[in-house]
Amino acid sequence: MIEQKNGKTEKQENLSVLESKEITVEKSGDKNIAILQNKLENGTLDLFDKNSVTLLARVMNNPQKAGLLERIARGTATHVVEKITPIVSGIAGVEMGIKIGHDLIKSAAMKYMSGFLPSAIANKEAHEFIKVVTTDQTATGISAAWEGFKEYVVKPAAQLSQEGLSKTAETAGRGTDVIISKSAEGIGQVAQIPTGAIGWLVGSALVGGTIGVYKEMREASSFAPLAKMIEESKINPDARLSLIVMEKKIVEDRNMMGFKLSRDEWLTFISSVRDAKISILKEKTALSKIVADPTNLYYKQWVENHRSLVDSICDGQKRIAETDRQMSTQILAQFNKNKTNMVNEFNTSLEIDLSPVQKQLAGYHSLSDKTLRYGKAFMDGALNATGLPMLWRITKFVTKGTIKTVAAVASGGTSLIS
Amino acid sequence: MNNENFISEFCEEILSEIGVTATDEDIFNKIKTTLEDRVNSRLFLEIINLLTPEQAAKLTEELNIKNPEPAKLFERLAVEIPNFQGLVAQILTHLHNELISDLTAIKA
Repeated sequence: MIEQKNGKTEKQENLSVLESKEITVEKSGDKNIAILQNKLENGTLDLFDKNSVTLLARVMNNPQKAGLLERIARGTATHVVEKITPIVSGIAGVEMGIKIGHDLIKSAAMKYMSGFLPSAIANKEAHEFIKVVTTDQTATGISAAWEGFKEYVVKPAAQLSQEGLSKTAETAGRGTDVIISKSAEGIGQVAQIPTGAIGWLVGSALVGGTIGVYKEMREASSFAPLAKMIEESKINPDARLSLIVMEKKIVEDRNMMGFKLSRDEWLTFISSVRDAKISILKEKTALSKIVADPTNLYYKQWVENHRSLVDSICDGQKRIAETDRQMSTQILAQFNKNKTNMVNEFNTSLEIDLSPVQKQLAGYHSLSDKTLRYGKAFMDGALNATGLPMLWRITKFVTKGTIKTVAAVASGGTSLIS
Repeated sequence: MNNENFISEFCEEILSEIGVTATDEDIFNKIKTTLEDRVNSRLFLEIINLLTPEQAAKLTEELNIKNPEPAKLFERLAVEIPNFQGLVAQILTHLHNELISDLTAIKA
């Protein structure tokens, strides 16, 4: 058995190695680091980008795969979320994992289960719970729905998974040495893993990934509270200010909601904010009737000037709103155009100049951005479902075979299982 | 640990190997986040690329139809990507080496 060297963890080992050849990132900016950062941010990291774009081109060249990507990129299949049965598949996975008796797979399955259980919509109670959370949002409503959800969804699922849970806990209780040897054993197991397990892994990756995408899609459609505010702003004058404040918040911190809005939702929201601003502007610049006495010529002229000034400001805002709508249409047109032209463009100009493609793919609502967004969700689900992080460590163990890497397996293994 | 940590660790490891350290957390995290996005996006495309057209069509259908049965999808796919784990582990290894040499070249 290989032991950890002097009890050092991987990070400690890494640190001591790095102390000798450390290149620091300083506030003033290391020139090389600045170049690296710039290249990463601007997508001019040629080799890496080219491979990804080549892959994208290959995927887009296949009608079925292009269809899948398009479906994911469109991200509007929210109605499916209500119908999927993730709990069933998750439990099937755990049971399969127990049958195979592979601790690593089992713990990955448990992670998979715990990850999506709270958001699963497999039966009436769960469906009700999600419905209440997304529409009602009062503390009492959510609390009552949560009780039902726990009783009918979480509890039965937890009972079914009891065996898996206790075995996972047992594994976590073992010492680091055991985990090291388990990981080494795992290399052999990976090679000899039964077909059923591979099927489970593939299925878990796809379903886990798909569920990740569903989650992302559901978050992306959290427009309901904003829609409420917009409606309110049309009736209640004070609510206009709330809408404007909300826009400021979202613009300042797009993580809050900005990335979760679809193009149409974003456009509706911004247009409504603009309407609210125009409405307030008109109200605040309105002259009192006494001042605007029509018999007084001097004041009449002044009032006309003032009104034309206000009108031109309002018209300007309306023109901007119109531009927004036009831009949105253009973006949509380009997005549709991508389906046919992009493939050809990739075929002919991939080797020559990638910048038009990169330009075409740039922007919040582009295919590449959605791919990134949903790709992240997909990979989260897929990797969690298969336990690939552990496999990566094992692969490293095989490739490098150094004590340092075994330490990595050991520390990683502990954190995966615990 | 979850996958987010895994991708994050994967990128940290790459940055460590080429000698970029977290002395300035802001800059380091900025670089790491960009790198993470790229790794995620790449892995996503690689997995889509691993699918056969039929699997892709099936998955697209899963996103369409009202009552999908993921459990059946498991069985059907069981024989179609027979070495899925190995393939993804391979992709990770290639990506790791590719990023190391690429980033090192830029830094040099």
